[in-house]
Amino acid sequence: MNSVRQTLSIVVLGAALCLAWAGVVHFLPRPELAETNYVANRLRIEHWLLDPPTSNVLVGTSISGRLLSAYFANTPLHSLSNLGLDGANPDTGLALVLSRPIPPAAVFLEVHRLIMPPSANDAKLRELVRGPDLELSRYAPITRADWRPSTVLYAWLKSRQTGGGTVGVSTAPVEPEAQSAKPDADWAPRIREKVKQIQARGTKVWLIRLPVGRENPPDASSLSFADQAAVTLNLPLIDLYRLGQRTGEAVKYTDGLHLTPRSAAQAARQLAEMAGGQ
Amino acid sequence: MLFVSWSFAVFLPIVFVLHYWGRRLVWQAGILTVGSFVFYGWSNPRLIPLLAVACLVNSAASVELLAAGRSLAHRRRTLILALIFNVGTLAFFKYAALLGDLLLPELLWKRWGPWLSRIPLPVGISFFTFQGISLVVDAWYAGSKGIPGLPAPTTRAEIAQHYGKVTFFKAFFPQLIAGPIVKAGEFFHQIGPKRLADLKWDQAIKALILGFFLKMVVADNLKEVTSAIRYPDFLDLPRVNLIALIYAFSFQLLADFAGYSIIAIGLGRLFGYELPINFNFPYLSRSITEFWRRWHMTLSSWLREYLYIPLGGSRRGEFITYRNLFLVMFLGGLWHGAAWSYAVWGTAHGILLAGERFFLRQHKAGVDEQWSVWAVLRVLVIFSVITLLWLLFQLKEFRHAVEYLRCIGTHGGAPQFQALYVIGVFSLPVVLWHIWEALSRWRRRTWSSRAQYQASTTAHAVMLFLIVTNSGPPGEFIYFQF
Repeated sequence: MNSVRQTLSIVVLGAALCLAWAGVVHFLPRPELAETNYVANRLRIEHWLLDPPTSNVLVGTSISGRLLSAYFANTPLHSLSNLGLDGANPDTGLALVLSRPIPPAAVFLEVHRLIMPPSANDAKLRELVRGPDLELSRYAPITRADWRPSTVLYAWLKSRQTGGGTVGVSTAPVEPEAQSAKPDADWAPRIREKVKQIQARGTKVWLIRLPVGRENPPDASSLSFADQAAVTLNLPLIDLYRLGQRTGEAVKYTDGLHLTPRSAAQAARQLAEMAGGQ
Repeated sequence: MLFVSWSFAVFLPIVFVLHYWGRRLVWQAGILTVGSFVFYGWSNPRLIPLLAVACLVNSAASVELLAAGRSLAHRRRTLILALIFNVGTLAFFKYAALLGDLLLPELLWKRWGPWLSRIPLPVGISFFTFQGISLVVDAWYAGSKGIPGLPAPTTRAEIAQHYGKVTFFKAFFPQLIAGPIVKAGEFFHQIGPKRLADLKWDQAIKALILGFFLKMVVADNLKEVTSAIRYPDFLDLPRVNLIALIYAFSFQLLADFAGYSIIAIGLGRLFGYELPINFNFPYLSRSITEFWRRWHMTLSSWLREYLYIPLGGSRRGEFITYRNLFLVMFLGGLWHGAAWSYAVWGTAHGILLAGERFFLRQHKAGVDEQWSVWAVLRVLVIFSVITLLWLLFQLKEFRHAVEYLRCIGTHGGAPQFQALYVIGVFSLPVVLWHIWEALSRWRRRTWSSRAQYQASTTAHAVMLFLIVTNSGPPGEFIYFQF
């Protein structure tokens, strides 16, 4: 009997801890960044698929993942979900946009890595979306990524480190295929098809080019892949890199590739202003 | 089927209810055997015939080895054939490419090499072939006296029962894929009708919670950062991260494999079977010898019983003893995989064991519970040596491991907070688990049984809470590849 009693005590106490945590989480700031790529991606996917719909979506890689939703507060893009997925191809983000029944008003598609084929990381994320884990999160929010104690603690520590909650998503190493894969020759039909489906639902689609530390051409006036992609996909391009060059505002990177929180916030404001003006 | 998959979450309750539905042994063992085959073939049903053939061959061999009135020559022939079958199966699926590369002339290798390299490695083969070897060797020694729980069959009905028991023993799903490696003498005597009323719920559930916690919360979260120990990913990392990652992988490996073994033990208990423990806080070891008494204990015990002792053990002089140590550790290394890095890893452990034997003859080989500053220092040194050698598990090419160490020596740069956070947070439970064990003697002396009961209840409830809220992305167990 003692054996059954201890088992029940463990289960009841475990359930009580879950309930108590559910209460505590409501009073804590909601994390927008996480300690690992997978959890960071899951945060964004769950926010997009399980929370009330937003009018705007930013689709891309970890580069646009730095533009946290909080940076868009008090701008024309204040209702924005970020699907900048670490180590993933924008293709996955577009598929996620299509998977939601209520279409957003606007999609901002990051041009970086658009040419690359989907990687093992994309397959992992698609598996997450199809799998029962996400469905469980819908009905049992305690299993959501933004309720993870380690993620809440991490976000809090980072906000203290950088001050005032203006923090950026730092990334762990991504799948090697994602970094070393060769460009996909058939990228344009693949992306064009998804863009057309999104546009068919009444959504406006913009291409955006964010400053990327290692990949900017030395001469900003040179024809970049972003320009070619805009022509190929017949989409308007918002080029924040060239804008930065023109205004002379210093752009800083944490690791030579990703924007620092300050630069990311600045890019977010510029994006909101330009999109709001069009 | 993975223990951490949704399909298993459905499979387990069904098998559990069906098992206790009937009270007769035939029903219960039948349900568990059929369930085990479903478990094994779930993701790849083509594997089922391999397991079935292994069960049939070992059943037939053990019948012959146990039956009364067989001549010594017949029994010897049977044993040799059974060993050839078990070792041959393992060699074909696991080492064909490595052996082909070593032994075949270049012309033949060019022709057959690609085919040999494509032979798939059936999951769990290293474990169930070792179990088969243990069965036939034990049956050889036991003869007509029989193994406890597995008497020499005389009638047709007894032979049929023997086949059923051996198949159940080999296929029993909790230990089928990654151990613990159960020896015949440890299992057959437990086969009998089980009653739900006899089930020790607390022991089963506590093992399951601890095992799932180690796997899902510790190992699966650490895996997200230790994937950086991969060429050329680590080339850009600063020294502090490189060092921290080696320790993180060490904790991950323990949490992953010990987690699996503890889940297996918990599952065994759910069905009324006690499986041997496989890990006894290995990172508390004060010597390499002690480490091998605490790490993957069922493999160490198997190697000692079926390889080291038959080779002469330590009874035939110093030279033979050292040779046996090297050989056993070299083969133990290769058991983990057909790559030279595993052989180097095993040989390094063999050298360390031999060195310890040579220099520390007075060393007490048992598990010491007394603690002092010197003991703590020794634990830290041994843990660091073992951890360094695990690098060969993650970097299969020796030159990459050397490059990794070179980077530790040369790379400066600011530490990356994110990875260090993950390593710190998810390694901590393993450290605390070991400290908890190290203090067990003091706890037993000073804590009341009620306080110990409450601490155990609270610790398991917290782990349950963290399994629900803080699991990492699901992934395979590291030892599946072995």
